[in-house]
Amino acid sequence: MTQSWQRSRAAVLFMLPALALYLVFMVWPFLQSFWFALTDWNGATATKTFVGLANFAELAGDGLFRLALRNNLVWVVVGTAAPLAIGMVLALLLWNRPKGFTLFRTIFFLPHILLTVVIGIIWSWIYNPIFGILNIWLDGIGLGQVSRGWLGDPDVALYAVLIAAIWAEVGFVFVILLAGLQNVSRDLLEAATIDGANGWQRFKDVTVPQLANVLNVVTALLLIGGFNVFDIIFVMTQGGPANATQTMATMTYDAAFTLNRVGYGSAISLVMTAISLVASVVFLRLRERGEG
Amino acid sequence: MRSGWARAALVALLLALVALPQFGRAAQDEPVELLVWDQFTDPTESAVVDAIYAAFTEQNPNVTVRREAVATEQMRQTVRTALASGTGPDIIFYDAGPGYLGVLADAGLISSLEPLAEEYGWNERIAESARRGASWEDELFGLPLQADLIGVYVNNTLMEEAGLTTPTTFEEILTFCQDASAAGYIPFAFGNQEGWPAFHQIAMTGNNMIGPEAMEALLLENQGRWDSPEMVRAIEAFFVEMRDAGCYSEDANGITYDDGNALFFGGQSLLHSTGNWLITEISENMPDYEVEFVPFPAIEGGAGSFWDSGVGSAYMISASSPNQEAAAEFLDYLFSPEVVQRWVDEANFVVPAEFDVEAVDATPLQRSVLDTLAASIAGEEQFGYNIDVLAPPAFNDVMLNGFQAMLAGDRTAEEQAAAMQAAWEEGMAAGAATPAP
Repeated sequence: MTQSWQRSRAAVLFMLPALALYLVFMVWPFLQSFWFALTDWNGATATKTFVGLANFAELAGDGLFRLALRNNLVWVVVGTAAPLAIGMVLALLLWNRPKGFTLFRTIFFLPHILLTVVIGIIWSWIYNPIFGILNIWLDGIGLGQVSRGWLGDPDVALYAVLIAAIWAEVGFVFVILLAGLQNVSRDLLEAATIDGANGWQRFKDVTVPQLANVLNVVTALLLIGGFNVFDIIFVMTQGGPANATQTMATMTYDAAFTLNRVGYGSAISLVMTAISLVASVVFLRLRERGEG
Repeated sequence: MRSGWARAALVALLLALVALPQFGRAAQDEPVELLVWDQFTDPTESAVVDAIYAAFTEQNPNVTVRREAVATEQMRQTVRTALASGTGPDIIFYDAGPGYLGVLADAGLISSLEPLAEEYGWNERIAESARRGASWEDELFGLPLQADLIGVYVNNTLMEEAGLTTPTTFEEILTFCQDASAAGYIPFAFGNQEGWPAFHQIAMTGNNMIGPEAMEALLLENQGRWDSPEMVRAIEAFFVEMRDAGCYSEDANGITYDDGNALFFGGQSLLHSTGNWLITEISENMPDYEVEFVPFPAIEGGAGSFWDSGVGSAYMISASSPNQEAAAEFLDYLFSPEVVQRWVDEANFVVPAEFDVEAVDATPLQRSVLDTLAASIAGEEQFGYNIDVLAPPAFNDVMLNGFQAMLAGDRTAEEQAAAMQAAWEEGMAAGAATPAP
């Protein structure tokens, strides 16, 4: 009993610093957000008037929030599927360590180590309607009628930013999957080949199941990132033009820091957290069921 | 015996009362550190600011100025928390609009400067319009360092080469745009990716349509409407007619303000409708061109052609600063005639305060702006109002996104005017704008 308590006490003591940090920097601000969301606080006044669920009621009828949510869903679907697909292809290409392996691995991973601000600026230059290389290139191959101000057209701005984000994300997915592929049994693959499985069947039925854990983690991270996306949008379009690239996170920022509506911004951030949490849990449950 | 003690106590009390002011004066000489947050991140401006702050310390050796330059966006995120904590900066140089200064004043986070203005004579030295721009509910809370003048830059050199003349009416603008486009130019260097450059365009066409008095009544007294036929016309003029006439790039939403500037600096555009803050860069980047600054032309059926003006950021004192007296001295120093002269000479700021205009070593372009502002201060020239600096944040948000939607062809002038009116009424109800609800 005494020995067990002593062991527990040591464990608790070791956990305390991390727990304190977690409580102060995660739990406390999270609880505060709950409180702010129930008020009409503007971020400056000493008094915070309690408004109950009025912020959430307003959110339910806010057309801009629906647009932001739709944009987040597009981001989650495309921004998860595309890096996974591209990252997987690249990882498979380098799985057998072909000639130039180190060089290609570096090139593929490089975008991920760049700061988001740098990525945003680089792609803003690429998309620039005056000197951007994309329009110059399109003109050069006779597709001048397609060229436009990519970040200024409400119909395409979201996808233009999304492509920049995918470019940056692929490196991360690639490296994780490449590491995961090292644990895939080549014996099983050879056995499947002997059994007559073609390349697609070997990939689908032998390689992917052995990568399940890695894929789960990467997909969950991309999903959460998709719901919380802020930085690259803020750098490239700030939610514009005409709110076309507004997401829940950029809307939170605007509400809290531009419109001085910290209460409403907190409500948006809480809804964003809840959606992100539910989506991740549902995804993991579905994966577990699929594996079971 | 008891009366002896009483007499001694009375004498001691009197001595203490006499001595108290002396202790107060002694406190003034005690070392004081003023923490100043400003937005001067541009290297040239920053160097001038450092030198001016250092000169204050030279004159007041007991006061050390610790300066922290904070980018505008970061300051907007942190200043409310910093001031509310009670341990933030003593002085901030921050946006003067109702969404910024107004919010801080309303929350009691910054000190009223009314008593100081009287004591130091700021009311006589600083232009009334500028003081009004840095006030909240008729009370002065900030001292604005820069007066903005909004108009149209004209590259006269290229205009002459192309055989074009500066348009003097709105009708002429539309013809000019066709001619300039045919000559291979983008007529106006308008870039609106950030959204805020559109604020200045509507300020120009809006003031020209309804006139400065009506704009003042609308902005400061809540009399009039944003969806009036005149304002709809003003919106339509720049964001529909000029767009359709090819006056600016059809990708204006994808062009940043800086890219727009580059178009003008590089001679790809002939006109640039923006503010006087660009003068230094024009002087540096266009040494071979003769550039003129003129007000936006009159629109048919409107009130005329007016310059538009507003104030930029202002110096404010934190209400929780323990160094109120030193902070007041510092502000007074910054707006003293000799230092104002330095701001104008060295940083090229147009300070809305008393200084010797003739003594400034200015380029012809700078001189024209200084003379125009001096004429306004002397009451000889009537300025229109820069709208966004006097509007509630939600109204500016509607302007920003709505004008981008118009440029993309997704919104009509009537819809935009109606949205602006609705946002204005909402802002009025919330007391978020300058006028009283």
